[in-house]
Amino acid sequence: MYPSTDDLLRIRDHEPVDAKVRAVVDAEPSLQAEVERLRAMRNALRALPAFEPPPGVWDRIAEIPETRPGSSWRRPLRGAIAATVAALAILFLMRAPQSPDTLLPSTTVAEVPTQDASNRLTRRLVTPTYASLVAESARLERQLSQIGYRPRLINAGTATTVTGLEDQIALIDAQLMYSRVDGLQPNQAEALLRTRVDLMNALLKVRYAHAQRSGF
Amino acid sequence: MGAQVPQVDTAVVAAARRGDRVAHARLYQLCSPMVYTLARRMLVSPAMAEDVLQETFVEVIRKVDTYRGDAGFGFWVRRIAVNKCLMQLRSSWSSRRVDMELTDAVCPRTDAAQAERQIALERALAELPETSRAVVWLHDVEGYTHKEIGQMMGRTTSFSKSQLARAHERLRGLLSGECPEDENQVCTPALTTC
Repeated sequence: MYPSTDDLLRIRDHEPVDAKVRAVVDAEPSLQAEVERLRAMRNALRALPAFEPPPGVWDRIAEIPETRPGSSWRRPLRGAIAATVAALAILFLMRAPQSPDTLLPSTTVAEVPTQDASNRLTRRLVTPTYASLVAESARLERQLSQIGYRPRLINAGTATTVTGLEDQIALIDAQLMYSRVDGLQPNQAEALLRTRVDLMNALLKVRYAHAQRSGF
Repeated sequence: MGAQVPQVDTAVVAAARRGDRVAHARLYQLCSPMVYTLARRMLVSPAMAEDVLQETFVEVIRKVDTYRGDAGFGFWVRRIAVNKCLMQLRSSWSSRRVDMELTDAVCPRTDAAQAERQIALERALAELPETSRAVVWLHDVEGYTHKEIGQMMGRTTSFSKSQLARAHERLRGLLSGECPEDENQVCTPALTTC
C-alpha cells in the first residue's frame, strides 16, 4: 500500500492513518522527507506577510445608513418579517383541519411553511442518477488518492494534461458548490456531475499511466 | 507573519452593541488586517478583497447584537469574512483572470532570498484553482477542519481532503518546476528554473 498525498497530509496533521501506510512511511526516508516538505509548506503559508487594508474603507462603511446608530432600517424589516410569519401561520392553520388522506400527493413537502427553501432545492437535485454519479465521483477520488504522491519528474505533456483536467474539475466543483443558490436544475446538475466523472476517469488514466512509467 | 485573529476586549464589543461609533471604529481597526489578508489570500484580487472587507464590517456592525460570545469575537468576524469570500468566489467563478498585485504586503522581509521565496509562494498560491486555494488557506493557515470547510462550501469532508491534497500536489509542481523526463522535452512553466 503506497501512501497518497492525502495519507501524508494526515500524518503531517497528526490525524489517524492506516497502520500499514504508517509503517511504509516510517520505513521510507523519502516519504518522511515528503511529510517534512508538506509541513514546511504549511509553515511557509502561515509565514506569508499580512496585507495592510486600503485607506478610506472605514470612512465608506461609516457612511452606510445601515451601520449608523439608531438607524431605523431594521424596524420596517422586522415588521415585514412579522407580517410574513403571521400570514404563513394563518395559511398553515387553514390547512390544519385536513386529514392526511385528503391531501393531494403534490402538497406534502413543498407547502409546509417552515420548510427551508435551500434544503428543498438540494433534495430536488438529488435524483437517483445524481446520487449514483456522486458515489462514482467519490470512488474515483478514492482511487486517485491511492495512486501515491506525484513524483517530482513529470514530462511537460503529462503535466499540461493533468493541470488542464484538474482545472476543469475545479471549475465544475465551483459550479456544483453553489448549485443551491444558483438555482441549478436537476438535469443541469446531473450533466455537470457526469462531466466531472468523465474528467476524473481521464485524470485517473493519465495518473495511472504516469505512475506505471515512474515505477510507482 | 500573516494576520492573526485579534483579541477583542469585551468592553469594546459591549460598546459596539450599544451603537457606539468609536467602538465600531475600534473593531475595524483591530480586525480589518485579518479580514483583508484573508480575502487577499483567498481571492487574490485587491478589488474583490476590498469588497469583502467592506461587506464584512457592514455585517459585523449590523449583527453585533447577535454575537453570543461562545467563540472569540475575532473568530466570529473571521467566519463572516470567510462566508463573504466564498460568496465572492461564487459570483466570480466564470470571470477567471485576476491581476496579481503582490507587492503591498506589509511584513518586513529580512533578506532577499526569503523575499524571493515568499513571492514565489504567493504566485504559486494565486495560480491554484480558486476552490483549491480557498481550501488550502482555510485548512493550513486558518486552521479550519475538513468537516467545517466541507460545510461552509456545501460539500463533503472528503471533498475538502481531496482538494487539499490536489492543492499541495499543484503547489509542489509550481514551486519546484516540472522537469522533462528526457532532453527533447521542454520544461513546463514554473516559478523556478529546472
